[in-house]
Amino acid sequence: MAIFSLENVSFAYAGYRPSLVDISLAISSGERVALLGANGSGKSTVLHLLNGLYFAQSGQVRAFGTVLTELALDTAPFGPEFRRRVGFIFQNSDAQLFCPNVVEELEFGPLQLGLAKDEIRARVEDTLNLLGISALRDRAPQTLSAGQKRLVAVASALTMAPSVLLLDEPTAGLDARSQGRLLDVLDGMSERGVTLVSTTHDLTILTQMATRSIVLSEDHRIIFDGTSETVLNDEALLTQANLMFRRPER
Amino acid sequence: MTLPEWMSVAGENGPARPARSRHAVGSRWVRRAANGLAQLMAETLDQRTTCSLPGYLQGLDPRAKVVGLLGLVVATTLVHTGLALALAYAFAVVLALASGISVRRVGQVWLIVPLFTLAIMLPATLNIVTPGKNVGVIWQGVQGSLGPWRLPETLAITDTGIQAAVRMTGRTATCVTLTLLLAYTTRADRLFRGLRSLGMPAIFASVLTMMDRYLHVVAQAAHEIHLSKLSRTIRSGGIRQDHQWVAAGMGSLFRRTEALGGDVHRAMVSRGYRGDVHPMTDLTIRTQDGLFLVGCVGLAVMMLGLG
Repeated sequence: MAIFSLENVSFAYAGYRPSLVDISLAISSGERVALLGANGSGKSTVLHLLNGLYFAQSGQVRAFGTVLTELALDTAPFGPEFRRRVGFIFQNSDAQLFCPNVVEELEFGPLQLGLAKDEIRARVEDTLNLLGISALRDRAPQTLSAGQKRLVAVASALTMAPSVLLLDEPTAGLDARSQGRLLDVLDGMSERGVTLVSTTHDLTILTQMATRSIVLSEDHRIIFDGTSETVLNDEALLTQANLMFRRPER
Repeated sequence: MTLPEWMSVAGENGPARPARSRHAVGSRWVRRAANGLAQLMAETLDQRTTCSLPGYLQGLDPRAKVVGLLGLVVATTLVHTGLALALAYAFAVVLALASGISVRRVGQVWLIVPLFTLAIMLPATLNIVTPGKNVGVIWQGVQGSLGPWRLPETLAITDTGIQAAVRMTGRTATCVTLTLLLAYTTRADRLFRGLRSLGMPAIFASVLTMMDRYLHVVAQAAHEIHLSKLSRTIRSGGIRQDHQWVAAGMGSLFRRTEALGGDVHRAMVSRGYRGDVHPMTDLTIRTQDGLFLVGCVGLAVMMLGLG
């Protein structure tokens, strides 16, 4: 059953040309999906629409059977329940880390959801250990490296125990060990039935990130929806989407 | 792909022209401003360090500190005698030492406050504002008038004027020291939570918390803009060009800040924010907070008694 669906969705930022044109797709519970496309193709915009942060100018976005509108998200019980179920890791970690230190960052989401404080403390400790960032617990965000910020941003979404995780370029800026650790965590979440929707440029880890890939063209339309293996084997598609460029022999 | 001819190795296109000395001053003020930003970042981190020291004030509830220290600031502005001011300042120094803040750091107030206060108070030392015994004559001449204003025969500094200026300087330095203690020993988010529980509207507390968090990010961005310009500057274009560059940099920074503000709000909404931030720990007034408040009230009463 589809937990998310986009039906003929188009979207444009105010004063700019369209970012998405007539997009239709459905995502089922437990899927691992990657959104692929060149810079500016609209991958991040799709994630923002799925998270109810932007709203389609035409077409419909549905989540858990409800059309995502500002009114629906402002109304209990759907709004708070939606926020509990859907976690979002932003591309700009500085935007996501707005608390004075790492521990408070991880506590923020569960506190807004009204969880018991003992439960929150336990979740924070588990998540810090899981991502290997316990040593950063009292650090202020501005003192962290880009890779550390990215891991803390991931951790801040994990403490909400989402059933859907939307990740905007999750491995960007991570060193090899941190990247491996993050992929391990995502594997574990996937095994527990969490739906993962990621955007990425990194084709080398595509099959580890997702089993299904959706490719957006530079004119903001879906040009492929299928398995990640198929995408990697389709050089013409990758070239068309500006995901690959073969340099002429010199 | 064929590169254009001019993209050859450095040095083969002729030497770079050095900076002209008559324009060097233009770059210096930009550099000073950029260094100021770097210093701001360092000071922000330093302030966070003093907040986490295991000192007396750091262990108090932020509400007790806000009420106690600001109460003393109010009392300081009401008293006139040197003894009352000295008591308040001595109390501030003792609190600083008990909180692990060095005397040198507290004393820095005396480097800045007199400069500004004396500049403001300078007219008050003159006989035309504060009558008294002349202790230094600035100008003496025949009595005349300038339009509707009657000029005095003598323009001089008076003893009562000097007393007023010194009192004002002491009062300002004491108030600034007491306020700095609050900032040095209270993490900004706890300070704003304290103000919130004392009646500040939630939206103000949230905005102030965000400002504190992102001040560093914005300062860092401004610093990077300057460094990127510096790395491509071969010669200065003069003050006018620097002004244009600074204005463009401010515009660029404003656009970035606006975009970041939108992203931060969306990140908060995404994690369940609905207009008010729920804290993990509740603020509680304990015996030590009560004793501190009693001490502050006692001192304020004593100061007012001294006049």
